[in-house]
Amino acid sequence: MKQSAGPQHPLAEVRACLADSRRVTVARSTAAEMIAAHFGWDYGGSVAFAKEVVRGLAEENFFRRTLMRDGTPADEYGVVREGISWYVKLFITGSPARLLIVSCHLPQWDIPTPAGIVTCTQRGLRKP
Amino acid sequence: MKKVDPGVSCYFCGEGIIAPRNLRGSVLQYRDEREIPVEADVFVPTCDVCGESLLDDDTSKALDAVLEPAYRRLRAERLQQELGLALSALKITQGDLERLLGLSPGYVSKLLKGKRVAETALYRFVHLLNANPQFGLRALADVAPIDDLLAGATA
Repeated sequence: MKQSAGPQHPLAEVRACLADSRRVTVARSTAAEMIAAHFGWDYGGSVAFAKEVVRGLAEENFFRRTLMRDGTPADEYGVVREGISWYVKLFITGSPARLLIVSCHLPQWDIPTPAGIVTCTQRGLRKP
Repeated sequence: MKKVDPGVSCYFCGEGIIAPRNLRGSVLQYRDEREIPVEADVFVPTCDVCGESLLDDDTSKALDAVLEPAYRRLRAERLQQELGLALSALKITQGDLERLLGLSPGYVSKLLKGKRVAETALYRFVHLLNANPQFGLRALADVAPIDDLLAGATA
């Protein structure tokens, strides 16, 4: 498999955005509502959870670079958190920089990451 | 409270504009319900083409404040309907239904009066039970001491 380059948006910048709640937004349908449906939470709890998942991301969770429909570069991650697999897509835009958590939901396919394969069948992290 | 400038191109569909829009009158997924109506004014940055919205701490709390009362009311109404159907189909008392479902005495009464909002598992189980009440009763008799209810239902 071709080795992809690292994240387009450094995690240090992602965390800097997370430190200021005014600089973070979460997509309703592809993140907050999918978290809400999984846990039965309200929007506030789901938005907070999405931010926590992103805050916990490390370089070893990186999957690949991608583009939004409008051409904005974004990064995709896969991570296992408390035994549950999550797919995450995010990007930083604007000045001052703002983080947009595009996706945060259960993965629909296995996600290969440096840490291992994040399984869509919720079997945790599988070492390659 | 504006977090996104009016006129930002939509990142999601690449066609629309994301700007604060009043979601009153729309229907949203909320918690574990597919469709809860937005019954009051709440302004959220939303794309005018794909409908995707961007939530921050303030807008998510504003949405919750509007949706939670409607969610509780609709959940209570739907559960009351489901419980009524089960009681009617099985021709049993509220106390019998509590035994059948392993609930505390008086709990069904509180649900029927809207004094409690049922957990999702109970709500969905009663809905499943209503798909075939007699089959459900016989199946539950395998694991619950409800032989008297079974005898009454088959008499």
